[in-house]
Amino acid sequence: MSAAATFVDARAARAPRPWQAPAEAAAPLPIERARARLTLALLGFVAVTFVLVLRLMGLALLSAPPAHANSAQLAWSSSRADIVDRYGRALARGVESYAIVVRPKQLVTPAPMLAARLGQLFDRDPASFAARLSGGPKRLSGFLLRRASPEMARRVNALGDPGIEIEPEASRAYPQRQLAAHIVGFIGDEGHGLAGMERASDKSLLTPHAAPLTLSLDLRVQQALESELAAGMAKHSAAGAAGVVMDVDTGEVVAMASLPAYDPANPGGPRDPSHFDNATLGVYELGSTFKAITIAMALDTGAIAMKDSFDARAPIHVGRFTIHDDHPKSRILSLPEVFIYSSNIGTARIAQKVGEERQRAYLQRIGFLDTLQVELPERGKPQFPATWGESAVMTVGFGHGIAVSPLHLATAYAALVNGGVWRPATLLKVAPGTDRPGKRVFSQETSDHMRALMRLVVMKGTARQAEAKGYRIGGKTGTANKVIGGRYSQGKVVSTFAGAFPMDHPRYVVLAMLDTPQGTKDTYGFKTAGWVSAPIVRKLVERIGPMLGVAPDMTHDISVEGLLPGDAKAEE
Amino acid sequence: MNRSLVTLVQVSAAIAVSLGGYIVSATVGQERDRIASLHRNIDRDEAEIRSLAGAIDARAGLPSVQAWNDHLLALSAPAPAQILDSPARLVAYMPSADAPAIVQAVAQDTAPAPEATRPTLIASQIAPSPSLGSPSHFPPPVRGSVGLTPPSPEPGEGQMRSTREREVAVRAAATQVTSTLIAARVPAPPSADLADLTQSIGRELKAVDSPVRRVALR
Repeated sequence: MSAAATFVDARAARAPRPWQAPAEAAAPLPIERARARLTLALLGFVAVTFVLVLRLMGLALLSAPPAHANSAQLAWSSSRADIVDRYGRALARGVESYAIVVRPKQLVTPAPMLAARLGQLFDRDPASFAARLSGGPKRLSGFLLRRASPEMARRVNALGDPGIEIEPEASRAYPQRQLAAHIVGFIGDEGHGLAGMERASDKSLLTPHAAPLTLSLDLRVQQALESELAAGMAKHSAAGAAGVVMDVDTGEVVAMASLPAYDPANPGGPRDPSHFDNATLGVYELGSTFKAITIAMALDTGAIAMKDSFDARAPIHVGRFTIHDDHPKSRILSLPEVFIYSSNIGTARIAQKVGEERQRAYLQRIGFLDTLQVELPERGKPQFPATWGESAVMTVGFGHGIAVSPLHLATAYAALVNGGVWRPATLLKVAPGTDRPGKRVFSQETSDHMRALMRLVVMKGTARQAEAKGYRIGGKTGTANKVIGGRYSQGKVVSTFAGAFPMDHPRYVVLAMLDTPQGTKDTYGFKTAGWVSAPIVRKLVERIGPMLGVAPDMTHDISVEGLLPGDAKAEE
Repeated sequence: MNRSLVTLVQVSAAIAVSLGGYIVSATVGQERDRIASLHRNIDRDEAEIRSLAGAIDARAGLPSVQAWNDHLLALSAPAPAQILDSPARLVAYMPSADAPAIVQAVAQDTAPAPEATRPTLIASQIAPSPSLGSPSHFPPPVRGSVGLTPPSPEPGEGQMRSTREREVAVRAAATQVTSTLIAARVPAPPSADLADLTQSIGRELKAVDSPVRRVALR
């Protein structure tokens, strides 16, 4: 008996269930049922195949290929975005480079032979490669070369040894070399920023396919600033220098320099003194440049008026300090005279009128009691008296006993001349027409008075050498003894000029500071700011004024009429 | 017979669909390879362009330009008096022999549009601005190649010129004057310095990476 017959018999012998219809009436023949099932299975198979084909066609035709999936070039180019100035000129570029790694355990070429080939390739002594190829007693893997050019990587790869691997690695080129080095910063071997904006914006720069980081800097102005500072530093044998050019209305830093600078491509060791940013990290007692702030807060609070006079006939003794003038007039001085003659006595009396509470409040509002606000990681923290007594009020009034960074001061000067609105400094470009929020710290009237007073200092005061004809510069000089080992040094000073131009409609704050300058023959041995820093600003403004769209104009100026009795001339 | 035909049709259809799917897939794969290859080429070209741009940036960087200026060219920033606020003041520096036609162009450019269409010769009425002093402030041109040439006769003499024509004339005059002044202010470098400069550039080009060198040698 066949298997089919057995199957039929078994089916036939099985009794119908109560819910089933009688078998003989509805069931087709067994062979037809089997054929129907086979057809059904075949149709199912065809349907599945058809679905698979459709899916494959869909994948092939409709889905977009992953962008640049097979491109090895993108491994480096998208690894770190460029840094550019406000007009798109490159300050830092990602460049194609490779790390050549040697794995001694996987080398198949004898080490001496490979060393000889590498020596030929790199034009070096083969012995210099022998140790790296051996990997020491433990035959450890290591770098044969970092940041190799694509051409060199190709040549090494052509040696064909599996023990030598080529790996893409992040590398940077700094086409402007040391220009704006402290702002741009540099990266380490692992491709992460270690200083400057490279460090501050590390995360965003490493975002794949990120747009270039656009700074607020104008490279032309930056070059002019560094060039003039370097010339001044060399002329006066200064230990260091710092400079700032800032947009008074937006707080954008158009140029900022710290000298000595370093080459970001070869930054040297972590303790290299040139890494120190004098403009943002260093804090200095900036001397008489503070007098502008003291007078502004006194005018703003109503503690004094423009027509007030102050007794500067004799030094003031307060506590263990004696406050005296460097160029004593020994008479009653009007407010403009106090400012243009840079009278410590007069300013101390003004500070006294402001008082401790209001002085602290104003200094707090202009950021002088807080760490500098800027994108850089190198930010200076001001130093100020722990106990703010009467003597501190008076000495802080003329810039002694409080140390801030030059950028702190530039930010405050921007508020002094722009109508009284303080904005934190920024190194990122602000889109044209954008109104950057700020906080009002001085009234418009106070700002107007301060602009006239600062212009007067350049026209008739201690900063006459800052006068660039037609550019209407105004500002204040400040010469402070350096604090060394907790004591004031008698021979070493920090000379600063802080100002703005054009004073009838201020657009840019300019600051130049020399650290420990020396007098020269043409300065008659003087190393005060009026002799060493003010000329730097004059030359700088003459260079950058046309670049920044400030045309010299001999026919307009801010009015200083009636500020001085007669036509007094200040003495240096 | 009928069943065999149906089976044949089914098998043929399955083969056709499979074959079609395979061909489409293969074609698409081939196209993808081409696109990937194109992307690789683009990336390679972009990398080369970046490399070249980086090299150019480095060589034309502002510190380099400053160094050239400090050591060789010795150009200085323009003095405030050298920056003029209008073309009319610029014309004051023109030598008197060449001045009238340009003064006329400037005067027509700066004057308010006349109501009448009849032209008026106003050159004789315009005097150079006295406030800037005489052109004798500047030494005569050192480089003889840049000299002033008399302006060509104005088109449509006797008729009103369009604003565009006046603008072109004024700009041409201003360019000539400016070029002369710049030439007068810039001393020609000594021949020895030029020789050094040429040799230095030659040495640098030899050391340049291949893409830059290729471009430089073209």
